[in-house]
Amino acid sequence: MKKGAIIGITLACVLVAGVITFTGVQWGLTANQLGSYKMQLEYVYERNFYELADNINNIESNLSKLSVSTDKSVQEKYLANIVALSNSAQDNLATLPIDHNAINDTTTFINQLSGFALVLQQSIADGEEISLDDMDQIESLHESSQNIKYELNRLSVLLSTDYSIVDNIKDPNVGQSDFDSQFSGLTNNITEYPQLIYDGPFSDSVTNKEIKGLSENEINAEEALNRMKEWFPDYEITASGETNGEFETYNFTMTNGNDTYYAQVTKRDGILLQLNSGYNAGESTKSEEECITIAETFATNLGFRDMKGVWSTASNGFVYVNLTPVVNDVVIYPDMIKVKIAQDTGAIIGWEARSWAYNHTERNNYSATVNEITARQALTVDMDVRTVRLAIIPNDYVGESLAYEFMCVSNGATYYIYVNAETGKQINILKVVETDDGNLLM
Amino acid sequence: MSEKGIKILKSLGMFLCLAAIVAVGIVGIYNPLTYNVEQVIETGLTTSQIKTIQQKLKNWGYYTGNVDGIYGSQTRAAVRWFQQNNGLSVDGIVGSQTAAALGMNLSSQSSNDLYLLAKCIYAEARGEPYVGQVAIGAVILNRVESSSFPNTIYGVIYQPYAFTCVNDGQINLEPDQTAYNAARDALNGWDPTYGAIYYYNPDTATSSWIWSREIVVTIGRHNFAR
Repeated sequence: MKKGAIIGITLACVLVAGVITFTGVQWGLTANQLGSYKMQLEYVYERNFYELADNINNIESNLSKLSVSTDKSVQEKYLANIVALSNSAQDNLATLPIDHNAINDTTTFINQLSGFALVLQQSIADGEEISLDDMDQIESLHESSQNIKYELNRLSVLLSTDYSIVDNIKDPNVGQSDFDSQFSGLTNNITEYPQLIYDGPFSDSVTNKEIKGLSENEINAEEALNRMKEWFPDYEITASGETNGEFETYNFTMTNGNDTYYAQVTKRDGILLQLNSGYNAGESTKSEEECITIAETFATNLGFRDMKGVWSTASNGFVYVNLTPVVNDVVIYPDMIKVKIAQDTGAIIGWEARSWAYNHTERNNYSATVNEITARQALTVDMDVRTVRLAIIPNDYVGESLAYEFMCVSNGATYYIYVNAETGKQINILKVVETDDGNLLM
Repeated sequence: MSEKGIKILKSLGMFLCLAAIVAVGIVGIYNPLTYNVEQVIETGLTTSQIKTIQQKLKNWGYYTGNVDGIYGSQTRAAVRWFQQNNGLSVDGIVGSQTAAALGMNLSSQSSNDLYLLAKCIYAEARGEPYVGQVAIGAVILNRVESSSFPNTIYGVIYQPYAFTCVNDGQINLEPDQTAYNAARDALNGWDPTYGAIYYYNPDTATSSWIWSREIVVTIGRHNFAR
């Protein structure tokens, strides 16, 4: 009994000693590694910080040169520099361990600067001059960039002391870190910059788009529910709140058996804006062609006129169909509705009509001023043209254009090339790209 | 290419095949170059891909013709037979599903963005209703478009402190099919939040700032806000 106890205690001691030694060794190694990781992380952060400071310094000098230049090719060069530098500055900023709130305004400033410079660069390439208003904007952008530059240079001095970024970043569960507050200084210095006016990436005119396709007439929740019941007679439908985003909608949940669908009907005009479901399709019985017909018929039943399937792709038992109005043989791409159909049952399981709601309007301009033969001159000689048709296409950011759509083949690749039907200039090129998830237009 | 386009091209292709046979009969020559372009646009396959398909079908006894890289009626019939035996939709066209069954990968485009988006959706919103998962994907894409966030899907998801799943490493979990479908829908333009750039779980959100944002919609356990 006694002997057994002694053996037991000895064994326990050995075990404990072993565990302590083992843990110690483990811990020692980890501490070493941790130190090294921390150092490397510090270097990554510091490199990004100094690159950011460099990029902002260069942006400032390019803006100041731009403000005194009169030659178009010189202006184009500075604008191209500003686009590249601000994209790079944006990357640096996004990598630094700062809370979003502390750099929100700085990020907006850099992104809008890049969008503004890009649009100016394009307009110069199209033969236009920089306007006096634009010159004023350039001057105020220059002032803001100067302020950010001074602030970053102050931080550079701080970093050249023994200040460590890693030691001053935030614990995800606590509020602002010291590094966050160091950066808030940047924001304070740019809040004064005027709202940039341009039609391009990140501009406010693009983010606050007008809804053209819906009238001001609102329907009430009961009417929305009645419409849903009419459109989806085979489903059990219940109201599930409202959405107050860019669009205001009544939301519904519908079921048939196991699957739940989520649908949104606009308050204005009461159209079906979105439908979606996590339905997993079984074995396909419907062909892609049949699914396109199903989508077209469904759109007609919902009161959308002239909708034709103009693109489709099949993936994982679903067919995605893009419907657009085709009026007088002109394809109206801005008014696109996307429909998702299950290939096993042929049921509509997805509907997305945001573009239609934003853009749909009665258009008058369906006749080209440039004829097809002239438009073809905008294609390279080796392009093998398969089909030609007229289409209204959305411009990159604002507005739309009437264009010839040439579907062509070159070196085994298929392209859709759009040539402006008023100027005869190329305005857009899409390439058909095969992926695991069906064909994409890129 | 539009489905109508394919249809037209198919009939055009068939007509050209017939015309070619007649021409071969009469003139005794045929122009492989024109035929090849026709076939690329019709099948979406390059000559070498067609050869691989023919070789595989021949090895498995579906195809007895020549491995010549020409997608003719014999190849088409073999593909149909293969599709029938493998429970695929029988259309004689090698799409992504048939290609997968043949053990081929036809894609030339990487889908890293789709994978990362699916991972983030899965880590942040598994267990949420499907539409709530699409909404998370949409918020990420809305941030890419927004001026006050980074401009790529990678930039947005890995922005420091932006997503808890990145902080705690859950982003590295393997996404399920539902998360993939939700990511694909979001990339295809579905956005049940209509422009939200924030979301939070009101039961666990610690930041007082987030409560000041205007709530756009509540889906499942998440409030989506602008």
